[in-house]
Amino acid sequence: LGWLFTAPALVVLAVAVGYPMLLAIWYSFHQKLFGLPADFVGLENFLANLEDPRFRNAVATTLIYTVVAVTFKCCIGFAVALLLNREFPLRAVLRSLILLSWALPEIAVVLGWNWLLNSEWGALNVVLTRLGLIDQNIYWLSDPALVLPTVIAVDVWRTFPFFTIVILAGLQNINKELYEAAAVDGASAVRRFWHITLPQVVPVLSVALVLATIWNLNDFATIWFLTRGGPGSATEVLSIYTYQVAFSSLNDLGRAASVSTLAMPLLALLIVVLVKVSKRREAEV
Amino acid sequence: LAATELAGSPHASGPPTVSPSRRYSRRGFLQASSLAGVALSLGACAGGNSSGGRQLSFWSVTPFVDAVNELLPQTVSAVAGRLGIEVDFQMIPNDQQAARFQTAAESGQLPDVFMLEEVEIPRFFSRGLLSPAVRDAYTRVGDEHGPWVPSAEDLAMIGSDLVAVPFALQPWMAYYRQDLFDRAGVQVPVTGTLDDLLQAARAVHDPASGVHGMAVPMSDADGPGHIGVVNWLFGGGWQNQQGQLTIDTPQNLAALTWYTDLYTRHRVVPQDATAYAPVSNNTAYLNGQAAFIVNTGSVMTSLRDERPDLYDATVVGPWPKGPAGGPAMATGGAAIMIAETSENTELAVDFIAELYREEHFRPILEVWGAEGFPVLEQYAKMPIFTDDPRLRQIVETIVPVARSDYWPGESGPAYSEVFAENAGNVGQMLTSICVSGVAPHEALAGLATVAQRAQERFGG
Repeated sequence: LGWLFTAPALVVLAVAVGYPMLLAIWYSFHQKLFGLPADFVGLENFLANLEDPRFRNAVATTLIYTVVAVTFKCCIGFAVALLLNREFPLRAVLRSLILLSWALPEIAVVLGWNWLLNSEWGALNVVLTRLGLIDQNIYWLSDPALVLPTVIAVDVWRTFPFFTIVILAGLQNINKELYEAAAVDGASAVRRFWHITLPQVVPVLSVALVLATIWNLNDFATIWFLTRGGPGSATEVLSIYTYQVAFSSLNDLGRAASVSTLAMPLLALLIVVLVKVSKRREAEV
Repeated sequence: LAATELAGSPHASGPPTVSPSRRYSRRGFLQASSLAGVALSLGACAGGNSSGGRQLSFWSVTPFVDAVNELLPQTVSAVAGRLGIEVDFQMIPNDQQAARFQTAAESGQLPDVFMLEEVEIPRFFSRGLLSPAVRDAYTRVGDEHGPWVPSAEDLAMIGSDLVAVPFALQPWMAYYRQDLFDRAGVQVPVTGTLDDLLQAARAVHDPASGVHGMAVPMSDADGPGHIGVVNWLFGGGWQNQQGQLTIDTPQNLAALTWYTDLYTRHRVVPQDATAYAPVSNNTAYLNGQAAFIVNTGSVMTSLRDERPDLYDATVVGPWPKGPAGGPAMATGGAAIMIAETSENTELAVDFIAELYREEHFRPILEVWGAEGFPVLEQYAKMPIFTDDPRLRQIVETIVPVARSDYWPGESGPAYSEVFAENAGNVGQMLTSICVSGVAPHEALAGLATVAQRAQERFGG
């Protein structure tokens, strides 16, 4: 009977996830130009990727984007969660406001930032100029040295509330008596954080970290709507590179599929970690 | 309702006396659900429209002129109403064009009728995705509303094959802010050489006050109107008369060096030109932040509708002379095709023929203005094209020197693969020079490799 109940979900998974995944793996061994039959090319696509400086650049950019963005999101999210866990007037209002950037539709937020950051008529440069902080426009999205930090900043601004919510939930589950006992023993704030808060929050934090890492590794919309991977390939992450290979420069679905196939083991590993962390948490609860 | 009837109406015998569980028994619920499902399926299959089930799908890339975006759906509706059919009309944003059309083609779901820029057409033709039924539409439109403007016929042909129905000619043009150049004592449009143009741009370039001498893209945007024409002025070109791609030539290298020097050496181009999208230079000009741009007539129409002050302060012209002659300018266009997979080719022909009827077509041209020049001679005589001084200036100064994007060859699949709007190859070459510091000859060699691959795969 259990199988009967799970059958619809399995069918949906097989059709919506399994089939496209297998098709992508099959395509990755072919040259597949749109509208033309697929030609078997063996490992050629994979070798071409590994030899392509653009692919190597995309791997490096993806890793930098993911590691830096997730680190900042985690730190800011943690700090804000600690703040929101304290009693103060209008705390509920502030909690709602903090969530706003994460709750709004991604496209709307990113297009808004695109307008704010425009080098010629963007509001940010206008404000900085009027405050006397800059005397010439800053090219946030077209200066190769600035563009990746800018994109990371937008992503961090948009998604750090996810960490805040998760960590806040973890903080609220910590038994207050632990803090009282530590205070009686004369533990400092730093020691209380290190020995009580952090260990208690680690299980939920681990889940949030793994999820955020997967999301950032696959992120497309934020970068696409800010820079389309440019200027040049300064913000070309793997998802953008895959899209460009599929629909722009090469128009080769097979080569694009091989990029996704190469990324699969890393994502699978992260999913395994996520499942294990979740199971351990369930066991602890 | 069905569930209530199957379980017995509670009001038939006074107040309800049955328990909720009995009223909505499992069997009753399942029977009712099944009946509802069957009824819904039958309803969906029946269609239920007033057009007797005759349906057509039509996709167009979203035009750059807002007024056309608003009018086109109404026009399609009017055409559909006149034919007594339903048309599923979608406007595809320019930056989604490749993904939407390619995935549709891949899954056999191309719309019955679709309109694209001419540079895209050979890609669909070379893959056998276009129906020969379009010849009937071309003949009917020509017979009923013709003759065609001679240069429009180029939009319809690939070699000796007639593959599309021309919809509009879209010449490129150089826009000058006459007020700014006047103040700097420079006469525009520049009638001298490319060097004179550079000096003119330097004279008005003042980024501190928010004005850039030339807002020309150093990205993939608008390649045919920019580097494509500069190649000709230096005696080069992306292909020869025989349709062979000729990328890595001394003339093209000289052109590429001159063009990218505007950004890297002379610095008369905004820094964010390396990230320009197709609308970015339009926006820069409309915001008064560029003294010179090159674009299709969409900017002229937008100026007319949104910035009459700049409209009055603008003059247009072609690119001036280069070392190998000139002046010159490119012209593209849009054309309508019928998908090979369409099961409604007769209806598609009727739809296309109806679209060109005066009551539908004339209003489109009127709002499109300088962006869409007529492909049929009868519409070329409309007052807007003969009386409006700006449009007359385009007709008199630019159209005579305008060449097809493919010049000196003809449209062909290899060219289309490399230089299609979203292909990204020209943009990669330009940004590799302007952003990554790659030498122009190396960047050009990179493009030549891509071109060689396309030539081997798709021929001329």
